[in-house]
Amino acid sequence: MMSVRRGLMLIAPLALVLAAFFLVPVLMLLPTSFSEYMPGSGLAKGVWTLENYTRIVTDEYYREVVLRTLGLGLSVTLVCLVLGYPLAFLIARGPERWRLPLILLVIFPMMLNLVVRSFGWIALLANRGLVNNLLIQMGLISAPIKLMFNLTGLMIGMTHIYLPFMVLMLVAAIRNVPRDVEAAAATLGSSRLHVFTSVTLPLSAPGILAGSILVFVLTISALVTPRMLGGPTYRVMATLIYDEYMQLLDWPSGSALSFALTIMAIGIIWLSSRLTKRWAGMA
Amino acid sequence: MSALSFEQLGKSYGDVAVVNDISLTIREGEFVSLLGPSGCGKTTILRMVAGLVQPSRGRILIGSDDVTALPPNKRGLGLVFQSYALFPHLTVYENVAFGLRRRKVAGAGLDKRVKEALAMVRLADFGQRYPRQLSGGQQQRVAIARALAPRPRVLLFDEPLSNLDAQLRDEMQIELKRLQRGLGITTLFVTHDQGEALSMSDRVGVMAKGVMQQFATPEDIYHRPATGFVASFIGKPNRVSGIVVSRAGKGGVVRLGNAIELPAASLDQPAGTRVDIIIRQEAVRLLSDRSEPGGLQGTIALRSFSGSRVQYVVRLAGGVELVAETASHGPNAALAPETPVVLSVDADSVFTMPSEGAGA
Amino acid sequence: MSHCLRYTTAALLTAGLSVIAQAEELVVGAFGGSFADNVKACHVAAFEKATGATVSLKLGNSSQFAAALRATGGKSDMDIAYIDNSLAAQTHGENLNERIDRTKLKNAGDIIPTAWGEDDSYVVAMVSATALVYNPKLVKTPPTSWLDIADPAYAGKYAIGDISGTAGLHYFLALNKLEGGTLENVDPGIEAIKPIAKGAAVLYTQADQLISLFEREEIAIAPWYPDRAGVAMDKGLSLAVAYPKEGAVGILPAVIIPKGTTKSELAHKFLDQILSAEGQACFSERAYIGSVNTKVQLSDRLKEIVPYGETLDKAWFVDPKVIAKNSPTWTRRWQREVAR
Repeated sequence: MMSVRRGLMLIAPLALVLAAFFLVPVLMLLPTSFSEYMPGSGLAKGVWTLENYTRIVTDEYYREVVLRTLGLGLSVTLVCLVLGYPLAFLIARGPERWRLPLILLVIFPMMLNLVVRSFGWIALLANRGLVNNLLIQMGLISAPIKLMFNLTGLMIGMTHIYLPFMVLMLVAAIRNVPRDVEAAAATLGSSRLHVFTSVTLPLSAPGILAGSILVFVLTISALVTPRMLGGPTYRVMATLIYDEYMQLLDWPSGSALSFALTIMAIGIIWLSSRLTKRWAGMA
Repeated sequence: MSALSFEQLGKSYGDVAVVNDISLTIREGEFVSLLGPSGCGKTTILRMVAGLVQPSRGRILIGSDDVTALPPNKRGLGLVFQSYALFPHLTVYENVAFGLRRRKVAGAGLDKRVKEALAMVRLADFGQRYPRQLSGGQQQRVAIARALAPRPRVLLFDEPLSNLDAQLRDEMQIELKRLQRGLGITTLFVTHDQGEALSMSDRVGVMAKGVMQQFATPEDIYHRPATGFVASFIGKPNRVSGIVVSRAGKGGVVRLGNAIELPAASLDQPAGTRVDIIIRQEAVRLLSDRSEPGGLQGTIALRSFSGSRVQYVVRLAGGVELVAETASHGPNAALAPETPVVLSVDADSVFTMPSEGAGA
Repeated sequence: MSHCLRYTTAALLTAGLSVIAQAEELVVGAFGGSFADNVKACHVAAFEKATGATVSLKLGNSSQFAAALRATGGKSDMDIAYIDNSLAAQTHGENLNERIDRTKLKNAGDIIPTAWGEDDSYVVAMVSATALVYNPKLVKTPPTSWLDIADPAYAGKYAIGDISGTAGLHYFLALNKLEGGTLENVDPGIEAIKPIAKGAAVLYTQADQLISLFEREEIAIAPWYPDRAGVAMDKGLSLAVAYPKEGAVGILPAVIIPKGTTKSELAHKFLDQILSAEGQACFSERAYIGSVNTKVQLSDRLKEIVPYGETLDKAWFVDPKVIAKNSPTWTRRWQREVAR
C-alpha cells in the first residue's frame, strides 16, 4: 500500500494547478456574488446582499431557466445513455474487426471544432435548412417546422456532441464486466435477456454513472452550442450567466448564478452516485 | 447408467482442432477429472458441456437427453469457475438464491434451500455479506453452494482450486470430495494438477493437444500409463534423451546418452528412433548391494531433503544424470555427495515418447 | 548544434529587445471582422508611419471591453479602445475613462461639438444608425415606417434583433416611442414588440447572422445597420436601405482612453489620427459609415446609405447614460416578456 504522504505528493502538482487556476478565481467570485450592481455606475461599494441568490428562487424567469437547464441535462443524459448503450455494447462485445471502425466513427465528431459542428446543425435545422427543405419538397409539410431555438434543436445538437463521451465510458465499463460472471448466470438458468438485466447492466453501473455524470455536467455547463442552437429565446443557465456578465455587466448576478449552477451539479453528482452505488450493491 | 456422455465430440476454430473427436461416458454419481497441460482442450470440453461453447462435431448427452443444441440456461448443470465468478453486486444469500429463483423456487422453500446449501459449505452465518468481504477460500465455497443449490444433474468444475494457496487447496480437496460423495452428484472436474485429479477422482482422463491419451482409474493412470505422454505428465519423471537400440516383442532395449542400456517392457517406436526416455523418480531404486546384476554404477551428485522423502541426483557413466527418490529414513537416507551407488530400474517403468529435441 | 542554438537565441533576444527599445507598442481595442481591417487600413497604417510606434489590436465587442476595463480596474491592458457610446458612458460611470485632452488633438476643432461625451470622457468617432434593410427583389414598395415590419405581407419573413444587440434595442425603443412610450416607461414598447418578436423568423444576436438569412431569402426585411448592408451589397447581396419616416435610431461608436494607461500621449496621437479628415474619410468610404469631422465630404453613393442630411437630422440619438442605466432592466423585461 502506498503511504498517504506519498499519495499526497503525487497529486500535489495537479492540486496546485487546480487551486491556482480554478479554485482561487472561483473563490474570488464569492464576494462579488454578494454585492449589489448599480447600472450605469458599477458595483456598489460596501453593500452586501443575498438578493442575487434569493432572486434565482423567487424570480419566475430564473426558476424557469434553472428547471429548463436541469431538464435539458437529464434528457440529454438519458438519450445519450439509451442511444449509447447498444452502440457501446456492440463495440465491447461485437466482432473484433468492427471495433476499430466503430470507435473511430464515435470519436470522429470529437475531432471537429464545437462551433463547426453547431454550424453544421444550424445548416441542417434552420427554417430553410436541409431537413425542412427536404420535408417540404417531399410534400410532408407545407411550412417549415421550428427545429431550432427550442428544446428539439438543442437536444439534437447536444446529444450529438456528448454521445461520444457516454459511449467511451460505457465501452470501458462493459469490457470490465467479467464474462465468467455472465456465464455463471446463464448456467444458473438465466436467459440472455435476464443475464443482461441481472448481471451485465448492474455490473456496468459504474460506467453508466460516470458517463451520465460527465454528460450531465457537460450539458448543463455548455455555452457555445446553446448560444448557437438555443438562441435568445431558449436560454439555459450557462447562456444566462454569460449574458449577465458580458451583456448586462451585472457581475454579482452572474456570479450568484454560477455558484447556483455549480452547487446544483455537485448535488446531482452526489445524489446519483449514492443511488447507483445502492443499485449496483456497492454501498 | 450413464449420467453424461460425449459422442465424437470435437471443436475446431478454423483449421485448428482444439478438441479431437472425443467419446466418453460418465456414470451416475461418478467423479471424473480431465487432466492435462494448459491448451490441451480440457476447458473447451467443459464449456461445451455447459453450453458456453458450441461444438463443431458430435453430441453431448445428459442422461438420455441430447443437449448439444440447448442454451446453457436449459441444461440444468452447475458450474464452478476458477475465478469464482460470484455476482459482486449481490449478497452471498442472493448469490446462492440466484439459480433457485430462476427455477421458480420461492418463499420458505427458497430460504430453506439457500440455508441448506450455505450450511453444506459451512458458511451458514455469511449470508448477508458481499463476496468482496470474503477470503478466496470462502468465495469458492459460496460458488460451490451456488452451483449445488438448484440440485443440478451434473456438477462441472473448471480449475476451481488453482487460485487458492497450497494448504487451503488441500483442505478444499477433501471437503469437495466429501461433499460430492455425500450428495452422490455426477461431477466433471477440469484441472492441470495431477495431485488433485488422482486424489479426488473415480476416473481420470489425461489429455494432450486435444486428444484423449488415457481414460482410466487413478491407479491405472499412475501405474500403467498408456502412452509416454501420460508417463511423462504423471508423477515425477526423469526425462533423458536417447535411442531405441533394438526391439523384441512388445519391448526392447533403449540407450540413455551413449553408454547406458536399459530393457523396456513396452515400446512404441522401431529400433533406431531417437526418443525421450521417461523413468519415474520413484521407480529408480538405490541398491545397497552393489554387486546385484543389471545395476547401474554411479555417484551421488546432489542430495535434496523434502520431509518424508529424499531425492538424490545420481551421475552415471557418460554424464547421464537420473533422480532417485527414497524414504527419508532408513539405510540410504543420508548418503553424502560423491558416494558411489548402484541404481536399478524396472523394465516396466521405462517409457519412451517422441523426442522433443528432434521435433516429434 | 547547441552552440548554434545559443547564438541564435541570443541574437533573437537582442533583436527583440532592440525593437522594444526603439518602438513603443500601443494596444488598441477594436471590433473584429471588417471593422478591424478598416482600422488597420485607415488609422493604424498612418499612425505607425507618423510615430514609429507599433499597434497591436485586441479584438472584442463593446461589452467585452467594458468588462475588461472593470476587471483590470484602472490598470488596463488597452491604451485606447473603440466602444459603443452607451458603454463608454457606463465605463465613465464606473470612473474608468481618462479625460481626453482636446489641446493634444490637432483635429479637435473640426469635430462636431455633439461628438464629445460628458466631461470629455469619450469622443464619438463615427455615425451610423439602426434603419430598415430589405431585399428589393421581395419587397416591391420600399418600407417607410418601423411598423411596416408587421405588415402581413412579410409574415414570418422578417427578423428582428435580440435586445442584446444594438439593433434589437434600438428597434424596441423606436417602437416604444411610436406607441407613446418614454424611456422611463417602456410598457407600450413591450406590448407592441411581443407579437412582432413571436412572428419573427429569427431573433438575431449576431449582426452578420442576417447575411445568410437574406441570402437564402428566409427573410425579406429587418431592422439592421446601413454600414453592414453596404458591405453586404458590395459582396453582391440584393439589399436596400430605407430610413423610416419616424427617424432612424443613431449609433455612435466612440473612442475612450482607459484610465491607467502609461501611454496616454501616444493614445492621444492615435485618437488624433482617428479624428483626422483622412482617417474619417477613409473609414467612411470603406465601412459605409458617417463621419464626425466637418471637413469630410461623402460621395453620393455613401450619402444614400449612411445617415446624412435629412435622415441624420431626423435620427434619434438616445442619451447613452439613460441606455447604460436602464438596459439591464429593459433586458430582463425583454427576456421575461418578449423572448420567452
